[in-house]
Amino acid sequence: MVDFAKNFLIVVAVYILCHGVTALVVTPVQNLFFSDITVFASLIYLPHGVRVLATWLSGWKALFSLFTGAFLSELLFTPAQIFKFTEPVILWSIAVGAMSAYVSFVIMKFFGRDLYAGRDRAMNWKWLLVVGAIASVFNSVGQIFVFSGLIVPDDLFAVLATYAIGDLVGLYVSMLVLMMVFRWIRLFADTK
Amino acid sequence: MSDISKLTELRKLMLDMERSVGLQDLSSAERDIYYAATELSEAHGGVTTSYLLKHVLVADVSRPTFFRALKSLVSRGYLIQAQETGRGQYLVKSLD
Repeated sequence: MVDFAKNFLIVVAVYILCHGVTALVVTPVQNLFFSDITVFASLIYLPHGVRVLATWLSGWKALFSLFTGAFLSELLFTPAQIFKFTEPVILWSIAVGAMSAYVSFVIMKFFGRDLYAGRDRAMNWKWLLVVGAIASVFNSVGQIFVFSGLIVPDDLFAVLATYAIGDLVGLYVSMLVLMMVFRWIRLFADTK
Repeated sequence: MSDISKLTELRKLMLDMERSVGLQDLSSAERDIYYAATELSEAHGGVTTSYLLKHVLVADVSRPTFFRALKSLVSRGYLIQAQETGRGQYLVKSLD
């Protein structure tokens, strides 16, 4: 129970941090170059990395922390006027995002590839990108359904593509950042 | 899965990623031995411990450091111990 609570808090905190960086840094920069794609999607959506890695490590148990992290992130970073008019659908949107990685792992397992941490000794990190890509497709399509009344049909493809690209690039970037963090910790420890 | 196991899995994954993006670490002694082994291997088709020890890049490396680095290079797959000729002979794994 203590382990679950600890993992829960870590995932929630990392999710909020990644969402914050996306909302406060990535999206404003994105809007300078690609204004008006949508208020819902980001081209580098870092929390997708948290979704995939947390689910990879904890399986279905990660759903609770991912949902909570996403909910708190929306509460903290989504502008009040957007949050207000999307409030009824925002919970569905969060649920779809939180489930996306889990659904992707289930699909991979169905096709004979159990990719959860510790199951495959020779795990290649690129498999997590595959999982992330499937999760991002699930998430994109899910978000289109969730926001179907709010997205202008003309924007549909742009939103779908933005979600898919944003999730995948976000996963890759977050894994790269994590890799650098691990590397710096190791190099720092070696020099001491 | 315990916290330590999760951290281990995460670390393994990140090391795999480091290798893929060409960031795997070699100490300076390991790097020099690998360079020397590559050169000797190109000239002779293989490399022996005694030739390595005489190589100019390895001359300043102390014996204990040399053998530690050699062992590390073998365990990390940079050098492969030759099966036919026994101990002291290595093949260099190309990084290309």
